[in-house]
Amino acid sequence: MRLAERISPAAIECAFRAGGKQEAIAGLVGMLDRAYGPLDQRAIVRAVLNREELISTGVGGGVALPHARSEAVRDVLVGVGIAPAAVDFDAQDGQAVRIFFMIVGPLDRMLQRTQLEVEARISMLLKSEGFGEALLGCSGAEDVLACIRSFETGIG
Amino acid sequence: MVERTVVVRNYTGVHARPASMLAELATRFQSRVWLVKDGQQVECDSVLSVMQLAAVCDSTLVIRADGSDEEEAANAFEQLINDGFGELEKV
Repeated sequence: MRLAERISPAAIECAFRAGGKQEAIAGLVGMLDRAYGPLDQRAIVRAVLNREELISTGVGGGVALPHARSEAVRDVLVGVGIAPAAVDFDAQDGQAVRIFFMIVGPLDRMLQRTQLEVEARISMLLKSEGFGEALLGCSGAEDVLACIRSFETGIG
Repeated sequence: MVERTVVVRNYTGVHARPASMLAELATRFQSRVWLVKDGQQVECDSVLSVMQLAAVCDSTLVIRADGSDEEEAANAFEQLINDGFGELEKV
């Protein structure tokens, strides 16, 4: 699977701004709605916030992977937010977040595997040396996709 | 070094939350702990490392622990995975 092929340029925002966790999640869901919608944004925001209550998806290092499964979507949707000003996201290491990958997938069992593969792919990229820095240097959606494509060739 | 073989039992697999639980569990032991799936080995030192496995429900994982408390670490990992990360009741 190529992650870059699963992300609509309309679901990428390089000037992502949010005043806190709730606003960040609402903003990211709004991006998914504009790119892939119309979606039931309220239901998705609720599902993502419920997930955050279990444990923050601010996984550390200025990265968050807010995600959920919801009846409101029919495919695994991915959005990317890059925040020039770091957002307080209650991350596991306490560090504010600048890189957001949002993943929302359906409840459908056949697509659970796809969602895990998307999450795994994003994890591999984020573990790749220089990927985070390269993302933070992107100025537009096509830039971000080119960056993801180039690092994806590195992880095979 | 001790090894245990387990099967992922929770329906949603090792997604971000179980990965967080595994990474957090690893911090409680002196031993280093790895998970292996289909020949791919990752150390349980961070959420991102564990998520790279994309371990879906019914995946077979090998837990490898190495250190002074390797038995306790392997037991704890085995139990957490066997318990489906507390998600077994959910669809």
